[in-house]
Amino acid sequence: MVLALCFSAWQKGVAFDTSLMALLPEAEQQPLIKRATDQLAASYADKLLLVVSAEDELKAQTAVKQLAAGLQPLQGVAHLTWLVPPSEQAMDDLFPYRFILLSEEVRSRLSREGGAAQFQLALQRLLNPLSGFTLAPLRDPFSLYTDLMLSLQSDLPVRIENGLLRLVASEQPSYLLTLELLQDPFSLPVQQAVNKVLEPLLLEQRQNGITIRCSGLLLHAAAGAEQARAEMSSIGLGSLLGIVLLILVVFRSLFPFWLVLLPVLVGSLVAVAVTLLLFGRIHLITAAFGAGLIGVAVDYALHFICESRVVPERTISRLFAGLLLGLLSSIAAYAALALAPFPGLRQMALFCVLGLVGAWITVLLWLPLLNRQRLNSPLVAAQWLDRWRNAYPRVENTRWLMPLLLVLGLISGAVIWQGGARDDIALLQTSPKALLDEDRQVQSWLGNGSSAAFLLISGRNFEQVLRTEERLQPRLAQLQGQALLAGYTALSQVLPSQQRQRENAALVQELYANHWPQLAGILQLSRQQSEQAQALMEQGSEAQLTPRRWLELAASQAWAPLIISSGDGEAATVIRLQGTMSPALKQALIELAAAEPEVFFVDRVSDISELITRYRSEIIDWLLLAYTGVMLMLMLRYRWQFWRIVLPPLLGSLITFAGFLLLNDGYNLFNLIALMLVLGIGLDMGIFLSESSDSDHTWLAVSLSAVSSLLAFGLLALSQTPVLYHFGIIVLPGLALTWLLAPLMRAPSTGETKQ
Amino acid sequence: MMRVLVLLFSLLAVLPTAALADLRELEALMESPASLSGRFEQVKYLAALDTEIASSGRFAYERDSEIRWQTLEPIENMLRLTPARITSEQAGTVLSQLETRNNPVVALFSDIFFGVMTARWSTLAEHFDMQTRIAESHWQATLMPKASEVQQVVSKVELQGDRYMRQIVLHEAGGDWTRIRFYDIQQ
Repeated sequence: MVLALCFSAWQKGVAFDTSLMALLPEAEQQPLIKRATDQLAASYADKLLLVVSAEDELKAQTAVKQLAAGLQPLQGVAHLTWLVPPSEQAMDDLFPYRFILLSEEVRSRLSREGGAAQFQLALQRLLNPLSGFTLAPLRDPFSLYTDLMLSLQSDLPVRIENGLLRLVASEQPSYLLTLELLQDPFSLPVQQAVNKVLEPLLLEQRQNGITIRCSGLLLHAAAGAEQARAEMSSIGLGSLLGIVLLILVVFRSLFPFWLVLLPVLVGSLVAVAVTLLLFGRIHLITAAFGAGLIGVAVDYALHFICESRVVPERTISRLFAGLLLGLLSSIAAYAALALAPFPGLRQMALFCVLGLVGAWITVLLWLPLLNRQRLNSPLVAAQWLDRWRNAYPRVENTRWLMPLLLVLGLISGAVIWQGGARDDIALLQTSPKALLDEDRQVQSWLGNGSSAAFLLISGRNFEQVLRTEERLQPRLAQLQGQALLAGYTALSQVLPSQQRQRENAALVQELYANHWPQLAGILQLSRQQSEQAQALMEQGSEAQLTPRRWLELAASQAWAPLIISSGDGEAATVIRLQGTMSPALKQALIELAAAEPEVFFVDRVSDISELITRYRSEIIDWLLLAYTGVMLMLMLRYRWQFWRIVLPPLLGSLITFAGFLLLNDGYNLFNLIALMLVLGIGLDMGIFLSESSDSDHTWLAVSLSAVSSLLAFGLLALSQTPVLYHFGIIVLPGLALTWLLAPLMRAPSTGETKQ
Repeated sequence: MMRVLVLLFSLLAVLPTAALADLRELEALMESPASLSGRFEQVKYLAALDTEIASSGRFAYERDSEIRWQTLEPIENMLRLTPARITSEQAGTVLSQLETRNNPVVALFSDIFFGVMTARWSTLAEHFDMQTRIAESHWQATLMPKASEVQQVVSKVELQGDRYMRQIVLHEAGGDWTRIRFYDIQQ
C-alpha cells in the first residue's frame, strides 16, 4: 500500500510551493473578490522583470543589449520584451473615437465657458514651432486626440530612450526587460531552465559593475525550492544524525537504529505521497516542518525497543494504552495547527498527522516481527539515567521547590500579561530578504507600491459598472490632488460608459458651435473646408464605442486585465491603485467604498494582518480550552495526580514564553501554535512516565524521545523561514524545560531496574 | 513639440560638440551666453490645408532655469518651459500644464533640453546625424534623427547662423514644416 501510494505520487511529480499566497487564508469575502485577487496575482506570477542600472546611460544600454542577446536561448520558455513595441499603430485605433473619448482634463476645459480654454490651447498648438503630433486641422482642429494621447501616456513608469524602456522613477539610468513565462513558474524544470541561462548572465554583468535587480514569482519559487532543499537536509539530516549518535551511545548497537528508522521512513513516505496527492504541491514550510517529524515519529519505536528490553513478551499489548494515548495527544497537538485558517498550516498538520499514523502503525505491526533479537540485558544508559534521576530533587522531598516553581510560574505569567503582540505579514514571507528588497524596489519604480490594494466595482452589466467608475473618478482625482494617492488605472479612462460618451459628444458639439467659425477664420479656411470639418465632427460624435468593439482594438490590451467579469448579469472591474497605502488614504478609500453599495475596497495585506491578529487572539482561547480539556481527560484516569502530567509542560511553556517576550518585542500567532506543540509532546512524556509506573527504561525512552524532539524542533530555530523560526524558538526551550521539570513531579516510585 | 523646441533653443546658443571636427569649428564660431532674448517670425505650413500661417513674438531663455516663447501675433500666448514642467498660458491663466515627472514624452523632451543646457552636448549627437557646411562666419547644418521615436516628431532639421542661430526649419513626418527666423538677438 505504501509503495502504491508512493508510486502514484511520483507519477504526479514532485513540486514545491513557496508562494506567500499559498500560505494565506482563502478569501472570506465574496467569490468576485477572490477572482479579482487571483487575476491580479496571476499578472505578477507569469512575469520576470529585470532592471539594469549603471552609472551612465551608455554602459547600462550596452548591458541591456548584451542581456537581451544572452536571453535568446529562453525563447521557448519565455517571451522577452526589451525594445519598444511599435505602439503608434495600436493608438491610432482610437482616432475614430476622438469626439467621444475625452480625458478628465479636457472634459473640465470643455465644460467651462463653452470650451474657450480648449480653443486657446488648440490655437497655441497650431502656432507652436512644432506640434509633436501630426496636426489634423480639418479632422481634429481642437486637437482632442492629442489630449487623449497625452493623458494615456501620463503616469507611465517608463519612457522610451533609444528604443529601450527607461524607468522614470530611478535616478540612476535604469532600463526594464520583461520575460513573460509561457509555463508554470512553480515547475522545477522551468525554474532550472530559466536560472541556467539567467544566472551566468547576471554574474557576468555584475562583475562588470552593472546592477541588475529582479522581480518575479519564479525567482521566489526557485529560491524557496532551494531553501526547502537546504533546510530539509539540514533539519532532516541533522536530527537523523543526532538520533543515530544517540542510539549508538545508548544501545551500543546499530540494529535498533534500523528498527527506529523503518517507521520514520514509512511515516515520511506516506505523508509525502498523500500530501502530494491531495494538494498537488508541497509547501516549503510543510517540507521543513515535516523534517522535524522524524524526531516525533521515532518515539513509538524507541518506547517499543526500550520496553522490549525489559519485557520481551507481549511488549505491544503492555505498551498499547500508552502508545495510543501518546498518538492521540500528538495528533491533537498537530491538529491544533489546522485550526488556523492558513492552507499552509493545514497542509503541515495533515502531513504530520499522516506521518505519525504511518509510523505508529508500522511500530504496531512490523516491529514485533522484526525484533527477533532477544537482547534483554538492562541498558547501562538506563541505569546511569536512573541514578541521575534518583539524585534529582522531587517536589515532595524538597520543601522550597514547589513554592519556587509556582513563584516562577506566576512571575512568568505576569511578564506574559505585560507582553504585547506583533502581527506582521512579514512573518509569512518565505523568501530571502535580499530578494524581497530587490523585488520591492523594482515594483516601487514601476509605481506598484508595496500594497496589493484595489477597488472592485460590480454591477448588472458593463454600462452600470462604468457609470459607477465614472462617479468614483473625481473622488480619486481629488485624493491624487491631496497627494494621498499616487495614481490609479481604471477601465472607464479608456472606455467611457455610453452615457458618458453621449455627454462627451454634446460637449464637443458645443465647442464647435462656439469656436469653430473663429478658428476656421484664423486658419483661412474656405467655406467648403469649414463645412467639411463640421460634418466630420457630426459624424464622429455619432460613433459608439461598445465594450465588444473596444476589446477588438489593439489599444485595449493594456487595460484588459482590469476586467474581472464580463458575463451577462454580472460585470465587474477593478481600479488599480498606485503607491503606498497610508492610513489616511485607506480611511478615505473605505469611506468611498462604503458610500457605494457596489464598490468594494480590497486591501489584501492589511486583511491578512488583521486575520493574523484575530487568529492570534482566538488561539489563546484554544490553548486555554486545550489545557482544560486535557486536565479533565487526565483526571478521569489519574484522579488528583493529574498535575504531575500537566504542570511540566505548563510551567515549561510559561517560563519559555516569558523569556521569549523579555528578549523580543512581541509574540505572534506562530509562537502560540508552538505552545500547542509543547503541550502535545509534553503530555506524551508525562503519560508514558505514568503508564509505565515510572520505570527507568520508560524514563530512558522518554528522555530519548525528548532529545530527539529537541533535535527536530530545535533545529527549526535555525531556519531562515520566519514561520518555522518562530515555532522552533518556542518549542526548543519549552520541551527542554518540560523534560527537566517532569522528573521533579514524578510519583514516588522506585521503578524496576531489574525485571 | 517640446522635444524639438528644446533642440531649437539649445541650438540658438551653441552647437553640440560632437566628435566631428566641423562641429567644434561651429562651436568656435558661436557664442554661449547665460541668457539670450530676441524676436522671432514664424511661418507654419499645414500640409492638410496647403496653407501657410504666420505668427511672431518674443523669446527669452535663462540657462538651466527657463525658456519663454511668447507669441504676440495673431493671438497672444505664452509657452513656459522649466526642468519640471511645460506650461501654456493665456493672459496669465494656465491653459495646460504638463509635468515631466509623469509624462514620458514631456520627460524625454525635458531630458534632452536640460542635458544640453548643462553642457551635455553629446546627447544631441546621440539623437541626430549631423551634416554641416561652413563658409567663413556663416554656417548651415542638417540634422537627421536616428531613432524612430524622434522621427515621429521631427523628420529633419535645417539650421543656419553665424555667431547666433538665424534660421531654423523643422520638417514633420506628416509634411508640415515650420520656418523660424530670429531678429534683434541680445545677450
